[in-house]
Amino acid sequence: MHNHHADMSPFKRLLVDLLMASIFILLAAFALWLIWITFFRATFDSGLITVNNQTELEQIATGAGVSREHFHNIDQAVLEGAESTSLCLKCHGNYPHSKAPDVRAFLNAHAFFTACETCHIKPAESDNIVYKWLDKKTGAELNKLEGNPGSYGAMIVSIKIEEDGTSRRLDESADRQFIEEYLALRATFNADQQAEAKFRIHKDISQKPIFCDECHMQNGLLDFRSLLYPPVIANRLETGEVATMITRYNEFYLPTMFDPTSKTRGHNNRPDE
Amino acid sequence: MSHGKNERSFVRLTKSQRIQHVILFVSTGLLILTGFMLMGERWVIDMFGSAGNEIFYWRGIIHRVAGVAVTLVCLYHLGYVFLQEEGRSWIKDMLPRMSDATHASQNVSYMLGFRETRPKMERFTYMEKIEYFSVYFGMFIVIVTGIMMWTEQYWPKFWLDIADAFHLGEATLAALAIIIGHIFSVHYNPHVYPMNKAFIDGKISESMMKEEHGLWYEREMERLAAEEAAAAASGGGRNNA
Repeated sequence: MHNHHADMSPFKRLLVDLLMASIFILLAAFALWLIWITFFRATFDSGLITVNNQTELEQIATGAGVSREHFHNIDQAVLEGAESTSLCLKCHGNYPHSKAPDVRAFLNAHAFFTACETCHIKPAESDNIVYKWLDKKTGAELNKLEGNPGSYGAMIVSIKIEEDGTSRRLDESADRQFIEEYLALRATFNADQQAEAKFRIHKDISQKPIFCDECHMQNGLLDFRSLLYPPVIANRLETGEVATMITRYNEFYLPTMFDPTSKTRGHNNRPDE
Repeated sequence: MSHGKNERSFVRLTKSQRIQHVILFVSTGLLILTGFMLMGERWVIDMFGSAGNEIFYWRGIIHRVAGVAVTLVCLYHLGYVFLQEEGRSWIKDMLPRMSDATHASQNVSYMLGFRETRPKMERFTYMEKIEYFSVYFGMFIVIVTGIMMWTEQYWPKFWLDIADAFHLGEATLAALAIIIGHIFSVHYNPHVYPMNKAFIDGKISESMMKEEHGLWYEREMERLAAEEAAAAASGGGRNNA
């Protein structure tokens, strides 16, 4: 059988063999990688797992490898508290969103690093509003984001710049003293008095909150770059997987068998909370 | 048939078939490359740095363009095999036959050393037929699921998740089949190494045809002999006139 390879000069044959061997190795590596991602690559970050060569009995005997933390997976919102200074959380708690089971996890995750008023007090168009990261404890403005995503020890807070140049947080209410008094005495109020007080306390709260896609979009309410995010992350937050995920989850599909609270599916889950 | 430098060669792929094959392999290569970028290791993606967003933006565009190209060539091929004489001859020879099972078992025996000679096979061997019809199956899966994911706003997440799993699964299978089954067996085949040029010039050498497609070779030889005899007869007739 005729083979062109045999007709080549030794040097040319060597070059061809090297080229073909390189292609072979490249393709074989790619094929092995495909097999790796299909069957062996874990969906979690294996770097997070501490390897312990002790047997289970040895671990129990020595106490090694046994978590000394809570048995359940407790997230930082519980361990650290969402924001101790917020009056809202005194009634609504660290997990204030509970009405929409399909999306409440997303909303509560945001509550850990987003002040309530950022979404729930919709500024008027004429208002000059800036959004800043403020330290949860000191209230000081951050000038750098350090730590795991969202865990910067700070919250995104909406701040209104008044015409005279002064600024104030949107949740700074003139009724603060009234709210604190109400919280202290509410057990003594009857239902009508409580309703009246709640109406006054919530008078600044927008009926419809700011929804995810009003911020997670290009030129949205939040300028992620001025919120100290690196450009790559900022782009991702406003155009990439985050914005795409919101579009997908706008009509959230969850099989009925996993949703004990709803008899009908396909409702719009924009939260009204 | 034509005569090469040292030996005769026969037409293995026509111009139309070669063009279809080029469009198929270029677009499939781009689809594999741009598709599996989504499964890329984090450290590789991080190497793109600030250009990552731009690269991934173009990744999506190229993947869709290549997807459209592969869909069009598949549709063209369907028209080709049903509407054109050349295509009908192709699909007729490609259809599975009982003899393929016999050839498969004989070929396995030959490769295991239980048989002295390779079985004489047709224009398309059983392996080529399996590969060819696998492309139909695979293309159907990836095109349908690809269109679903492209029009994701019209589909419930439940179906999109299924489409995603099928698209990735079939793409993985197809990529492995192309690398291991096609490239290695076609181009790293010792008969033609370092490259089977049939996809460029459309020719197969007489020796390879005899070795790998013995029955087809014998038929071609009979046809050529008949043609030559007919030509000789008609030439003789003219001489007699």
